[in-house]
Amino acid sequence: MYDSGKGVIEDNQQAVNWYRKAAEQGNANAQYHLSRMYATGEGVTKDNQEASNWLSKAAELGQTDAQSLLAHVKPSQVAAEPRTTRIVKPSRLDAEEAEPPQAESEESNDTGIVAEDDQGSNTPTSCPDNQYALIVNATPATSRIRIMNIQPKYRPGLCLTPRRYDIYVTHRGYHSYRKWTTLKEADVSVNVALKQIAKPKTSSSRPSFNCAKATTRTERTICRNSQLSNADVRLARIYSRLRSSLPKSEAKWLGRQQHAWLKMRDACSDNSKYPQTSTRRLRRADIRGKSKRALRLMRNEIYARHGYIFSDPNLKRYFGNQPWYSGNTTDATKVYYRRLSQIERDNVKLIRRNE
Amino acid sequence: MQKSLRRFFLIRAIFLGLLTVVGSVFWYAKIAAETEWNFSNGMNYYNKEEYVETAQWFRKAAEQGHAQAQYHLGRLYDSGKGVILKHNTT
Repeated sequence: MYDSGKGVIEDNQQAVNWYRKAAEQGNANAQYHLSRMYATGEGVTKDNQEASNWLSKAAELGQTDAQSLLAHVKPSQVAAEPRTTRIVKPSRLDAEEAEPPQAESEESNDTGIVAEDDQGSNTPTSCPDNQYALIVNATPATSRIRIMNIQPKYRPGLCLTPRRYDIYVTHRGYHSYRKWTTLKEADVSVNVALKQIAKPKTSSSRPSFNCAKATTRTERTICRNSQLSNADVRLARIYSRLRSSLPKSEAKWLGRQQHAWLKMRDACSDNSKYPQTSTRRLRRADIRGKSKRALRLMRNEIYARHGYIFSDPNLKRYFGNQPWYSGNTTDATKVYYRRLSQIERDNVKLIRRNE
Repeated sequence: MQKSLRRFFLIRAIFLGLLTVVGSVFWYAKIAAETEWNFSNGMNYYNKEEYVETAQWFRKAAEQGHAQAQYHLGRLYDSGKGVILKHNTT
């Protein structure tokens, strides 16, 4: 039994137990979170069926997150192909969740696609009985063609049994194409012309501030790199839009936060040993094979970055020698709950679990 | 004599039944009030961001079957709040 005197120790299984109890009593929020736990396999064996069951229950009761999540999962996919029914992880909804970088140019965007289905064209093929060829003619020719609902890889003139197929064509720098096509009684060839992704207008690679006045190392780095400049412009635009939409007192608060963040960003640019611990969620691969000592350093570096003054003399000495470090509080709980971002908290938890 | 005896038993049975009903109603009302009280206490602490106390009160209410409390307790476990993690060194 957990020690009830000391609050809760983070425990996904317990979370699932309580969620289930509340969910069975008809609590929509609990149903949504239970579904999430099933989808990600936290604290319970992963079960997409259960996940979608609870998700639809929560949506029926009017849970808005569940409803928008259900809208993401295409209804045709759910109905036609249970194998490809994939619950979109709820984390996808979190605004701060960073998309994986390779997805940048492969947006699943149906706009701007010219495609024609050429049913029953008479290309001579040599398929066995009851099988027909599926041909996808893609421009540009180097596009990657996948059929998402079957195991074998696509090759031109692939022989398939009549049913529906989920064709997915992607190419770097082009809008991707995805569509279900029915194959019956005849060969099918699909012509797909992908459209190029329009370059953003602000590719002049000038950051949001004046490069001539750049002082810190971070600012100079941003000025030198066009990708970083673009990111900076985008961030500045979002920031100003957010700021103007907030009431005055909260805008002030946001300004303070932004200053704090700038400080942290500049601190990151100096050579801390594990800068990734603050910028993205760590994966198991980042942690695997590291010694206990290294992991401890990694975890404490997150605290150090936010100005925690260490009580352990070794850590105190180590971080004291870092040029970027400046401590200003000894309250670890405060640092954890008030200063660390969600990503950093998750990283702390992950490292701690593996130490 | 027999008649009055029967009447006596009848009245006694009715009286006892009434007592049980009233008593159980009061009992359930008391439990419900307690549960609600535990939950609202938890909510107070939650608003003050004192998660350890929050968890204690929510657990009480949750074990009494309060759905909201169960959900919030799940959230606490999920996010690791109310935790005494050994944050700092070693």
